[in-house]
Amino acid sequence: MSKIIGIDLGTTNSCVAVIEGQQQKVIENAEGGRTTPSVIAYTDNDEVLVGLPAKRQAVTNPENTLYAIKRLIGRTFDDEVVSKDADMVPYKIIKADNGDAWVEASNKKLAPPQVAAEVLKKMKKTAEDYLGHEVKEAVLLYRHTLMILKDRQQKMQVKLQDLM
Amino acid sequence: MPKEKKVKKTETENAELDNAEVSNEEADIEEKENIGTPSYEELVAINEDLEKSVLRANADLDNALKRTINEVEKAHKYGVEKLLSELLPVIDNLEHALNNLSEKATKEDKEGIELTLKSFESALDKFGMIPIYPVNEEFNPEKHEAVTMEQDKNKKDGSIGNVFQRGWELHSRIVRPARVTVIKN
Repeated sequence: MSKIIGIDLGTTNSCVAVIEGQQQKVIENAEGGRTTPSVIAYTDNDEVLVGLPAKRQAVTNPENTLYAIKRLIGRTFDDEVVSKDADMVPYKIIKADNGDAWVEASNKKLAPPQVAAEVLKKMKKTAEDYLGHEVKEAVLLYRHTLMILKDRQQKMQVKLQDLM
Repeated sequence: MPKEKKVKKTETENAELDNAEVSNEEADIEEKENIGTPSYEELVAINEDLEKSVLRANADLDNALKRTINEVEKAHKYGVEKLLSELLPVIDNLEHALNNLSEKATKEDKEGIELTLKSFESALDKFGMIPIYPVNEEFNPEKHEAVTMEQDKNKKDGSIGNVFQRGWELHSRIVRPARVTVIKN
């Protein structure tokens, strides 16, 4: 029976844990950190870097290094938060055909959940390395949802369904 | 003495309750006997379930054991990580001292610092701490941290220009990345 992991997908950092016995245990990633920066980088040689390595190369590749992507999930391009972000971040925020806020990296148009999924994948991998078996189920903590409109929440749930 | 009476009363109540329970249990047993022994197929199914759960429990135990061994190994390997990383600034300072010796400093002063630095490094080496000093290497975000970009026509794009600060790794885990400049022409 494979264990169910818990992921906290944060705006700046993410964390993964399992229940062992009665207690929760935060799993350390390959770099030895208990949290992983929610930073994703698409490099010139089509590599996807997640976490610390992505953060370390941010200076060399600012347009394709995506962070704080969680803020964009489920928001439309015309959203106040999005236009505020667009002025602040070095990567490109674009308008998708359905009006949603998407991002552009390495000349590819990406939906924010798709980018966030890279973080989730890394967290899943961290857990699998630790547990020694494949992980098929996860509880995703997304604290932000508690504060936002219901329709955005539902939208996000639908989009996140296929990620894991 | 009303209190005593009450106690006696509850005792009798309890006894009655016990009797009731016993008769209930008897009834249960009778009922089970009436159902009869499970059929062969049922037993096989039960056995299969049990076998599965034993296998699962064994696998879980195996995994837990492996994990524990791993954890202990890691604890041994990386237990010193925090201490060593706290000592790194001392090494940095020795390096700074060497690079910024005053004119008044004698040859012996320099040699003294150099030997101290050397013995420090060999002490770290004993614990598996290896310096990362990536001159003329390709930038690798797994080990290096880009501080800024630099132009240099003699070097390739994406290679390392200057090393601001050495990095350190402990058993292939990065304790501190090397802080470098990256070439972009």
